Amino acid sequence: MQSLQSLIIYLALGTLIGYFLSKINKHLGPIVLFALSIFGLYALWGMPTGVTESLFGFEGVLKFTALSKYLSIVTLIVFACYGFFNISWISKAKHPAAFNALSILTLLGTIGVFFSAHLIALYIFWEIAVLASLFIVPMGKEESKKATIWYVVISSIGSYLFLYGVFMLHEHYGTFDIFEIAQNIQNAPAGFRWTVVLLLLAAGIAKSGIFPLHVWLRNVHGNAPDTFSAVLSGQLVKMGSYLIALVLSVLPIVTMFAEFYNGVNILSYILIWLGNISILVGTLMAIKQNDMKMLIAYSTVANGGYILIGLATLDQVGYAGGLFHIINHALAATMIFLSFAAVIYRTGTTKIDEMGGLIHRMPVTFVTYLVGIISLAGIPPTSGFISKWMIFQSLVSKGMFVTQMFVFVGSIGSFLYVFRPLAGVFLGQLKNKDKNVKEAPIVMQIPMIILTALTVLWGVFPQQVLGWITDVQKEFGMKPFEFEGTVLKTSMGDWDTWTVFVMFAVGFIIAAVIYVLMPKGKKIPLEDQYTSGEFIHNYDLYHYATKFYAFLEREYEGHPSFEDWYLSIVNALRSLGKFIDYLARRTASAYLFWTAVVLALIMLVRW
Amino acid sequence: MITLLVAVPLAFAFATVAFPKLNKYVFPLVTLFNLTLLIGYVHPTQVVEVGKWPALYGIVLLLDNVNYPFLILVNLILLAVSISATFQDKLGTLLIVLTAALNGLLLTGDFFNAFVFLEIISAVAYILSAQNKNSYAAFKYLIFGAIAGTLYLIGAVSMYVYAGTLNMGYAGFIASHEYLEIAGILMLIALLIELKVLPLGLWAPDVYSNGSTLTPVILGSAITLTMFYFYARLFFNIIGPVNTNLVYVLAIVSLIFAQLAAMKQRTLGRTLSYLAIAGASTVMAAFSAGAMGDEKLISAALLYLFNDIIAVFVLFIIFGYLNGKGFKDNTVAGIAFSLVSISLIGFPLTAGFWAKINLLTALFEAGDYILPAVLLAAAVIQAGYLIKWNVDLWYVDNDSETEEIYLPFGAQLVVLLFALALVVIGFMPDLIKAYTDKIASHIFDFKTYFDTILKGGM
Repeated sequence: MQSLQSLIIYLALGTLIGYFLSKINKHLGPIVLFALSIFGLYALWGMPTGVTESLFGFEGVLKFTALSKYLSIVTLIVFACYGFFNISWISKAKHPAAFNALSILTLLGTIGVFFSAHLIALYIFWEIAVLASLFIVPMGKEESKKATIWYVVISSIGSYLFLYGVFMLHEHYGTFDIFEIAQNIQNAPAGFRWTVVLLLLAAGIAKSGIFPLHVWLRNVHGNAPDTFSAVLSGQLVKMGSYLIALVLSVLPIVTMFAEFYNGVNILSYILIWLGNISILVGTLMAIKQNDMKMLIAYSTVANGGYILIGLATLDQVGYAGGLFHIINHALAATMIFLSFAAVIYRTGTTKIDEMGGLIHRMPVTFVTYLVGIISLAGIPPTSGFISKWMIFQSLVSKGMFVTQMFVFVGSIGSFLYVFRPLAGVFLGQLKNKDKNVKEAPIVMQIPMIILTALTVLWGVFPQQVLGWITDVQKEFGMKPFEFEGTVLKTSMGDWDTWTVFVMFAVGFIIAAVIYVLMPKGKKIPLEDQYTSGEFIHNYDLYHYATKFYAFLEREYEGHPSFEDWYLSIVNALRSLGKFIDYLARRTASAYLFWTAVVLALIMLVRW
Repeated sequence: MITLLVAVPLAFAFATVAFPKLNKYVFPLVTLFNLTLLIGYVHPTQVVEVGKWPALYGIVLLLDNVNYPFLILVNLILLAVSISATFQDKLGTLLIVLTAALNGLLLTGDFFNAFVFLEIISAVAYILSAQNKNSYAAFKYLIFGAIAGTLYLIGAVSMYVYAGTLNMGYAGFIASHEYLEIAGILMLIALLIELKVLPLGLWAPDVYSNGSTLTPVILGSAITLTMFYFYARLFFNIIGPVNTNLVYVLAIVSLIFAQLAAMKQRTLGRTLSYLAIAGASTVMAAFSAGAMGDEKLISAALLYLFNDIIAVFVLFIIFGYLNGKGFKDNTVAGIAFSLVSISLIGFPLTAGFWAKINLLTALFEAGDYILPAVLLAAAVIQAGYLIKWNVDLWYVDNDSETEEIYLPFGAQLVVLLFALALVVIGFMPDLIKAYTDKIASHIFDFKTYFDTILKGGM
């Protein structure tokens, strides 16, 4: 039975060991990471929740709640697949030793966040994770340098607002332990409650990419090293969601804020609306993207919105749905980014319209991506369907039809934008330059296959995940989601995943039987095509991928850009700085002037 | 014995006038001697009455728990400078004189003696700032510094006129509070000019960015540190505690403006100068917030000062040598630069992190909600431009234009040790905190100071 502290120490040692081993042979580093992740999974899988421990002599800093367990397991699964994938991918990394060491350090920071009950310890681990990922991001493409600045500034805004809130709480209650604070905070005056909760949530909002702090995701996730985008999108934003879930469930939000709409309190309502806008912004911006990684980065914004909406309803079905969506999006985003990493590994580009027809050369990668987007779009029998269904259910049962509309439009939109890379990269015409592209190495295929299997497995047999989730709900005093075997029960009806799967399977078998019995079509090469009797010399032009959704993008072409708005704030601040600099370059008599001014001012005040 | 701290450097300085070539060796030896003396032989509390004149009539040198850590740190910094910086031989004499003057200012208990040392420090500072053909900036600094000196002199003289003695302790004992305040204002302005609080610190960007490995390093670390000591001694111990609300406001405004100005800069030198100004302003704001006797706040401010001084040292030495070139061939410099940047921003686990946390804790306990907000907002801006410079310097495309520049071994050693020290203190903050707590607990204790100086009585 491992202790939490020993796990943290192993990860810290692992960082150093990983660094030095990577100097010897760069493939050793990811092996260390993979080994640590598997060890972590093994240790935490059976660990009982509700354990409080001390860290390096400080009492009561670590606490292993059900929420910690759930999110740690999600994180470790993502990191295990990432580590295994990297064993092969690391040959393309620019600074492999630093990359490996910092990856393990990121894992350390994240796990530490999940273990902390002491808010300063949480802040320390949070910043460690940010710091480690901060130095990995510029190892990507050329534009990743600018992206790093976005990352650190917006992350700092969130973390420092959080820190200010933590100190305000400490000032009032004399403790940094969030569970102790929760017991006393109900009696605080309204202004204080609002301020503190919003400040604490700010870090979670900044990290999970919710509007209005969503602008960094596109640049950072899109330009980071390819496999690390999987960690950024599949796991680090979940750290933000963890903070939101923690604040919403530990602090008695329901009693702290007045009820606003049909059982939903006003703070939750505001958060739900932020989620709505995130879904809208994420979906619409994703449809426009030509770079496949930036596209999925925007999808992370939208899915962060889903998670926030689910969590904020604080209701039996909705909260469980939000938590389930965390694991679904983690798996799906990891699958998608790993498949992209495999494609980029072989083709060397991230632009959708420069690829095409890769299904013929990389079938396993294709299947991974396909199952990933099916899960994201929320189609049974993948696990993505269950979480989306639960969120829909809870919104409808509360009568929140406007939000329901946003969520539904987001869902349809998600299918639109995930189809773009599918059609542009995998289907369609194989380009001439990609004729000799091979499938990804077997080491890369294994984690992709495992993730695919997990998505389908948990879509059909969600009991394991639901067990974790209901433990979380029970621990926080919420009514747990009801399920029995494969039957999920809500107030509006039941859903049997096994029945649905059987239906799909039967349909699949019937189709397979027909395919086998019926006469086969003739297989012709891709180039054997005609158009209006003309012979095509350059088959690359056959591929429809450029400006894929032009008809839709035209509708919202002149939209305001939040990125530009933030940049204009930066410019305004810069010009203020320019003014100060101007003052500094003046003549000596100007200095005399300033001295006289300050002297007069101080004398005036004293008199 | 403590007079040796001033006398030995002074003597050797005169000796090296005749043998300028030996400066390279005499300077480190002198600072090493000082350090050995301080760590091994001389301990607080000691009083020396120069010329055996009683304290009231003569000059008194005092070593107590407040200036002992400052002395060690200043001499350590000067030793580090002697090893790492590159300077012309003839400057060596000046630097040894500077050593004497800094030690003197830290030890003295007499207003006019302090003025003498202040002027010596300023004179050396002007000459240093004229390095690398930076004469106009040095001239502007001279004007500003002359005003500072004059104001201080008027303040000291008015003290003498009222109290009949130039001894700091006795003047503080006998003078009325209002009188002390007015004289104090004059001295305050003088110190604010040296401490680079905007708008009185407008000279700093031009002077610090001259690209020499000597000027900003010494001005930004050793001299700033000494000035902060002198400020604390005057306004917490002797004249104080004084309500310094206006200085608080001025320092906060200075902090914001300095960070904004740093954000705008395109050259590393000016960015770092504004960074130094911002750091000094933060410490000044914290000092003024805790001026009424808040020991915890002063202790936290001192830890922040320590972090800032070391950081400024490392950053400016690296800038002085590399002058904006990248870290591709200078990994050690790059690592030191990045570690120090991380400490300045306040990422765990570095000295800067503990400084920030302690400062925030103390500020909130004191009921101050404004400075923490400003501090954190400024930290966001600082994180932005520091990371930008780090990324730009690490990932620069080396066009292989000119010769490759390397840091000399001494500089590499020093910057790496200093950067690692910040990380080590991040893991064990009590190493420095013990000292800052001691300073903070003694600095408000006027009675002990007075009794020590006038141990014989009047």
